[in-house]
Amino acid sequence: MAFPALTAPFRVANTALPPQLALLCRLLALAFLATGQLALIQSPYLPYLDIPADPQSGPWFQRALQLWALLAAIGLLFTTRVRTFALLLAAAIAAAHLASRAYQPPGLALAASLLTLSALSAQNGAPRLLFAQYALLYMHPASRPVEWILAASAAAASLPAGRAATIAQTLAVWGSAIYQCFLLYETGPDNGFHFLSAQAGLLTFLPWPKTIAVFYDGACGFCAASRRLASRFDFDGLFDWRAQHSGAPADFCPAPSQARGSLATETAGHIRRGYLAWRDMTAHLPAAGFAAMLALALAPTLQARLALAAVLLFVLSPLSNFIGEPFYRLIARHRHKFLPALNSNQ
Amino acid sequence: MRLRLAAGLCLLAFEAFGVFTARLPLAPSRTRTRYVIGAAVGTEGLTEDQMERRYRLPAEGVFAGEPAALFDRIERAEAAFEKYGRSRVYVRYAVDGGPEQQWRFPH
Repeated sequence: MAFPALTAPFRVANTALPPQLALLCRLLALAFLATGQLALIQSPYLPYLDIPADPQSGPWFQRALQLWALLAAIGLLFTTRVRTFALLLAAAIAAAHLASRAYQPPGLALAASLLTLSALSAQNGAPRLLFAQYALLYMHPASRPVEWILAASAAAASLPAGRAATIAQTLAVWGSAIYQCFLLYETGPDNGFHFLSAQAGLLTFLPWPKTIAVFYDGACGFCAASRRLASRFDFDGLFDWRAQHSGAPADFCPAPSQARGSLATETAGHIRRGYLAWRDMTAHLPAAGFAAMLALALAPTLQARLALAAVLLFVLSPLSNFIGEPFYRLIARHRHKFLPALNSNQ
Repeated sequence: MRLRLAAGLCLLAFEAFGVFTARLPLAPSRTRTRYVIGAAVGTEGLTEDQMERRYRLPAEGVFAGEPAALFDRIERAEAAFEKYGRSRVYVRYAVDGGPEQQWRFPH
């Protein structure tokens, strides 16, 4: 008998949380497991709140916490009870953190807080508690001017929807993403989990569309094969595929010569074509987020992690348009050469 | 919903208190403290291995954080493992490449 609460990790819709917060919680669980935080729990052990009172029982307490965190992380990844398991994982981290003075790896307090505040967020509306968390992240007695700017932009993201809130969100996301890379470079590899938590937490600021209309060249075999491939990773049915010339708005549908082998998306009123459309789709696929998080978490060295982060940020930024668009056109022009490979994947 | 909002605000208030009193490091510390620990219980000096097991730190190294956090950890360890107050600890340290300083336990 199927257990109705079980689900694939890549499905983020239809949970008690908004999709971007469900994805955030799952990415944190993945980073927690992939960076080996489980084995590090309470290691070394040194009583802080005298829990447990008898130091001899420390190993049992440690094993119990590890089991608790493992079950919570698995539950977070593989069930629809995201709110419950996010709270359980946060509680396990908080208990480990508070009970041992020696166990204070950077990032755990932030991860526990992001999980808790995500779990406390409503299904609808902007997650303002998490915006406040980001503002607080950059406010401390030794804050630099750039950190005060990032704190102000994260706080301003809570403003009612409008131009000011959009600018603040953009500044908070890109400023934080770049600054966290710099901070990782400055403070060293021990802060890897903090880096991953802070980067995953930026999902908070990104509105998640209910659907993305994808217009493709219905007469192109390569496009149809691409559609079948992309659909395999679209576990939430986010993409609404429409063959061009079959219902696309007149001002949107490109001329036949442009349509040949090209792709376009419409997300919340924004129309993107070619490379931008491909990036729009990839950025909203939870599977891509999992792959990026896993690659960052398993990067063997600080340099490798930073290089990978730089590549990802470049691809997601408008800077990559200058390379991405010609590359997309090149692929589209030679699409018939890739068709056999794509078809063999079916 | 209001209950969840209130719980979230309480958590943020707790964090703000922790951050501004330097008890809850949300962001990684940029301070580096280079240190050397010497310790004895009664008249017997501790070896480097014994100190590492006791403080969960190498006897000599670089601590990622403020020296106060390092001293706090040593004090906690002494409170947990030496109930009779016979231990003496001596730390030489330098913060971010600054001048060398000393710290003793008990004070």
